[in-house]
Amino acid sequence: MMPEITVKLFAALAKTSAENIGGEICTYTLHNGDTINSIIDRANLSNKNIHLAILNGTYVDKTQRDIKLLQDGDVLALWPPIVGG
Amino acid sequence: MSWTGKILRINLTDRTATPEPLNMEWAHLYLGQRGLATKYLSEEVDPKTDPLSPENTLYMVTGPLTGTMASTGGRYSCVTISPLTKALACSNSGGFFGNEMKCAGWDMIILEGKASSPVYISIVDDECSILPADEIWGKSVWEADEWLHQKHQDPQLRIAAIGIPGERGNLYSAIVNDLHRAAGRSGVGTVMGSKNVKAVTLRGTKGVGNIKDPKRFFVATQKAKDIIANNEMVQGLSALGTNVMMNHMNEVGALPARNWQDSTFANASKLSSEAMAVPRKSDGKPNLTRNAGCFACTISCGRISTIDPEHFSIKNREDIHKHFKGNSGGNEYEAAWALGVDTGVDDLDAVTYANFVCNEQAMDPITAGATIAAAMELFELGLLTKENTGGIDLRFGNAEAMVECIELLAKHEGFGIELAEGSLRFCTKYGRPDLAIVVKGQEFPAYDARAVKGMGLGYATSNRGACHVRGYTNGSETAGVPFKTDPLATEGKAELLMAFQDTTSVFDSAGICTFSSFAQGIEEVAEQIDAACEGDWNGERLMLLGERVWNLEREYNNSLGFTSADDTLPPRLLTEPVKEGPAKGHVCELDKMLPEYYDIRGWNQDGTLKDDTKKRLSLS
Repeated sequence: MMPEITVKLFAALAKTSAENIGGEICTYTLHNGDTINSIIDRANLSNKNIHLAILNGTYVDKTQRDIKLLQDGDVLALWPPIVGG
Repeated sequence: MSWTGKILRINLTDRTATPEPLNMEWAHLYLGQRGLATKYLSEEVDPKTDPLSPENTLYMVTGPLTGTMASTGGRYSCVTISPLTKALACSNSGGFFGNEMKCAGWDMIILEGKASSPVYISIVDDECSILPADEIWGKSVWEADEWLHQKHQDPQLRIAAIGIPGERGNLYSAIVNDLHRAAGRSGVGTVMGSKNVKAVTLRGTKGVGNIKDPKRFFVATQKAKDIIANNEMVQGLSALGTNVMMNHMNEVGALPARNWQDSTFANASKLSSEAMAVPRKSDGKPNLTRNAGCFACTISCGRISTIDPEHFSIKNREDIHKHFKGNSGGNEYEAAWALGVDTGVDDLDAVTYANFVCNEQAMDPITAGATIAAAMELFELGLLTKENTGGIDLRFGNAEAMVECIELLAKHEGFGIELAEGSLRFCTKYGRPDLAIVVKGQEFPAYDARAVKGMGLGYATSNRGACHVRGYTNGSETAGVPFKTDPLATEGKAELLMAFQDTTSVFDSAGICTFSSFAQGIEEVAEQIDAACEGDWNGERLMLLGERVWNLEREYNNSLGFTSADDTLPPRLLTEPVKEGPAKGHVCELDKMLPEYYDIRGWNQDGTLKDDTKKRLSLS
């Protein structure tokens, strides 16, 4: 089985539908050397619109998005700028 | 000036209304709204006062930017001693009530004493009448609103009212204005009800015409509006509302569920902003109808929603108000969390219905949901039975049970009378006070303090009991606003929190919404106040003022009998580690943050203010 990661897109990044409430969820086959930025590119997203990258529940700083290598089974959640309360 | 310079003191016992000049020395030290009314309260109301006695006073108060063209300049506050916490209560609201008060020529309306029979207060500019409310006593806010509009034949009348719970002593009754904007927390509506006041109606035709330098004010407000309009965070708030936090907090493992037994909720997405926008099967319409803004707001974070016509809560029901089958306000994040996640209910329409009931009957949805959640845990532990609940199967996740509890609370009947005491009194009665997730007797909002530790320090030290809008460090800790900090770290959180608390105190005293602080800074606010108000104002002066407000509140709470022992968290958060997710194994290490917090606040380690702190802040 090919290694893969799950990518969740939220808020303005998500195209919600009745089958897919709460955010768009996609699966990507993991290539050697894949990083958060390479996945953002493959998802045809613009890095400047990604304010928060949460990898397995933990925030990844922008400076690490090109460096941190992704692993099989990782869950990457992406958000535009959000705030609430 | 910007302040009108006039306050209206209403003595309900004597049925008199007396105009008096605003104390301008205090206005310059405390600005307005939260700060100014707390100063009046601390000078006028004996700390020994029973919150529900005629001797307690309710202050309804604007800020100097309320009613002006400043973005979000529609806020007003209700300040009193809380019957829920016995601490200082200060709840603010948007909508259109605050600006109407200002346009009628009043900075503040003070309600003293107690009417001998139900009344409402009608204010039209300088005219104030105390009128019989017998026909609307026992009615909901929505029914009272209709009746008052018809009686006065004025569609532009602005009304703030209480529901049945506030009349009958529910300790977390709110004051709802404009049908679904609420001064929601700490039981300010309960105090209004204890005075036999059903509603305050306002009509102001004077406008706010005393801006010190109108041209400069126009430039300053336009600059702030540009900053707000171009801010991506605020754009997201407008598009998705506060409930955009639902999925986010779940993803970072800080979404407290099932009375804080868990820190994630498997079906959180079903209650999210994204889900609110999805068309449903029954009528092809989404839950979310549109967004809504308060007076002068250029953000419009408010949500207007509808319930699925096929949903059990409204289908085939003739006994409910027509608004339940139309549009009303919500869901906001905190309400969706408390009524949904905290009770384990993932039914968006049930949560929307319960939230509408809280609007209709003026109840704090956070405390209502959290109290039901605590009761659910007691029920699952066998400490509460169907005999106690009147037959309700009060298990986590049971949407029908949650709805039934809300309806009993709304009518203040049966099991609802017990729930109306709030979770601390309820859990104490059933032998497990430790299961009440409260600080100073007030229920927590929707951020797990074990996974977002600055929020834990904020809950513990909040002057009105657990609260998220007194120091929203979550903005920094999980959302990266204005900069990212580590939510699991304790280092630096005392300083971060103090900055948030003092800044928020300024926004809450100025007449503008704290959500605008996601975009505009204290310098932008200072430019607007300096152009609008007499005196010289800058960011430094405002930050000192914010610190002064915080410390005044602290001093007053200390005089009410609160001590450092009350600056703590429930045992669950201090000793029960998070079970899964990125915060797995973590508790909130309050002991690592609190001494530093006291230190940088200039307080003694017993939580009292040092003499030089009082002197520096002009509090002595």
